[in-house]
Amino acid sequence: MEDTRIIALYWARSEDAIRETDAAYGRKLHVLADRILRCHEDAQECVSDTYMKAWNTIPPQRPAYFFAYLAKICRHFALGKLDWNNAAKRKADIVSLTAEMELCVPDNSLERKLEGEEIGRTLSRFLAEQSQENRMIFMRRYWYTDSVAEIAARYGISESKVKTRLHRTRMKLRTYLEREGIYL
Amino acid sequence: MNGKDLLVGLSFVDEAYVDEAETRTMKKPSPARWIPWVAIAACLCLVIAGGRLLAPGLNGSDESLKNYSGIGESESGVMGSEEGVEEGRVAVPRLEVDLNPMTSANLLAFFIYQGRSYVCYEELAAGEALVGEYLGTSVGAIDEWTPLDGYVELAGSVSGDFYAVKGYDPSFMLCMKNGDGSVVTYINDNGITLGKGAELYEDRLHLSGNYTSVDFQTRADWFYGTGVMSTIAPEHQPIVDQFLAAVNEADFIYSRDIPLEEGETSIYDDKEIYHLFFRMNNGMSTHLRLLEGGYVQFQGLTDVSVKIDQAVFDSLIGVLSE
Repeated sequence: MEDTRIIALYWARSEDAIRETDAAYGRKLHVLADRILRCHEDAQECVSDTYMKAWNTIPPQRPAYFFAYLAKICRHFALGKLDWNNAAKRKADIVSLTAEMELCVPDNSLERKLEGEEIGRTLSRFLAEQSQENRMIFMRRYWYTDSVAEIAARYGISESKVKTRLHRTRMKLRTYLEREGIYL
Repeated sequence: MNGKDLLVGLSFVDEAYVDEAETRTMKKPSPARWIPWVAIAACLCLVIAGGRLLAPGLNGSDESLKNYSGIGESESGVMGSEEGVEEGRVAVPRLEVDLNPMTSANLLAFFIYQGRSYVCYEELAAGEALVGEYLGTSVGAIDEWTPLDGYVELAGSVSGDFYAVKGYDPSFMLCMKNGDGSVVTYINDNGITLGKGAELYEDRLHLSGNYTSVDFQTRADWFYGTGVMSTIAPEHQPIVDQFLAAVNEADFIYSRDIPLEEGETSIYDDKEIYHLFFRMNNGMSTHLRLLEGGYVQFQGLTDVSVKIDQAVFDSLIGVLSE
């Protein structure tokens, strides 16, 4: 079912809204949450929480990008549920991603400390300046937590190109944050 | 804010970007066209927390990795050191493995062969003609969890067969083939000494007389990957020839010794002005970085630079800025 029709079901407060959402995107959402949490049950719980949140926010929301809207909610729930200490012990992918992102944080101790949504806005401004290819590769790696091999396969490019594009974008982000005066 | 905060903060980015990464595909280039390799960083090594680049070194438990042969090998008495280098020459020393938990070892494509680390340099859409003799197979397997004894011969962050590159010394350049016919070149960028520019640009890269055209980008266009690129007009060939002659005659210096003016913090952010791409007859590109003050670097070996006569440098800059 098309996204606009699913959203219309939410607006009509039809119980079919959740069923159709699950049919369209349940698997993707589960994969997204499971990559972060490495636990099927916790991932399933995140997906259920996502549907609840979608039901409670649509209306008045009418998302322009429906899957992105759901995925954002799901990702946020998954990261909130993540036991970061145990993630390190389990060598979860999220830990290596965190380490990679750490490289983007500048050393300087200039002024501004950012929180949550403001970080998101800052990153959006940074991403707006990047080429579409670099932006897509960056988002697949750090937003969707895809492996390098998966990104290469998805876009039909070599793993070496993925690695190098990621490296370059991380360096640019570090420079960008330095210029914005953002600190640890 | 730390890496975790960034990762979490990504949840709040514009949904359009989330959608774009999920729904868009990448346009495949025409096989006959060279793929601009705009995203390669200093191409030396792996990034550690704090920004300094290191690469897997060859000081693992395998003694055989400490000795190798090839052109221009470090003549210092101490492997991995700049000490003892003959006056007038610079040494790009063997690099050390850093197994700090914050080091991520799979951030650039590289592999180890005959005790050298080869780091990816360029991807060519149609590079089959460059592929020479099969030399070995990298098993990959290096990631952020790999212990020191995993940095051994034929290990790397990428796996696959590697080959000599026709016309290039295997101690300097190798290549790997992708399934779609494209080829990625890899450069050994450490454990060598250099004196004059010609030792790199002619002896290793075979630049003079072997290119068809020269493209260029401003620093900003290259940095932001805009794709905006221009070509030096043929009537300016004498200026390019003069530039190359000056580069070949110049002495190498360490890039870290390039002086910064007051208020400047990075030679790349504050001094870099243009990127040149010599389109070689064999389909490769020799990528040079130009910095204010007459400094010239090869993209595959940015630890060292040459400084050429300012008048010659300015002549070229005048052409690029027309």
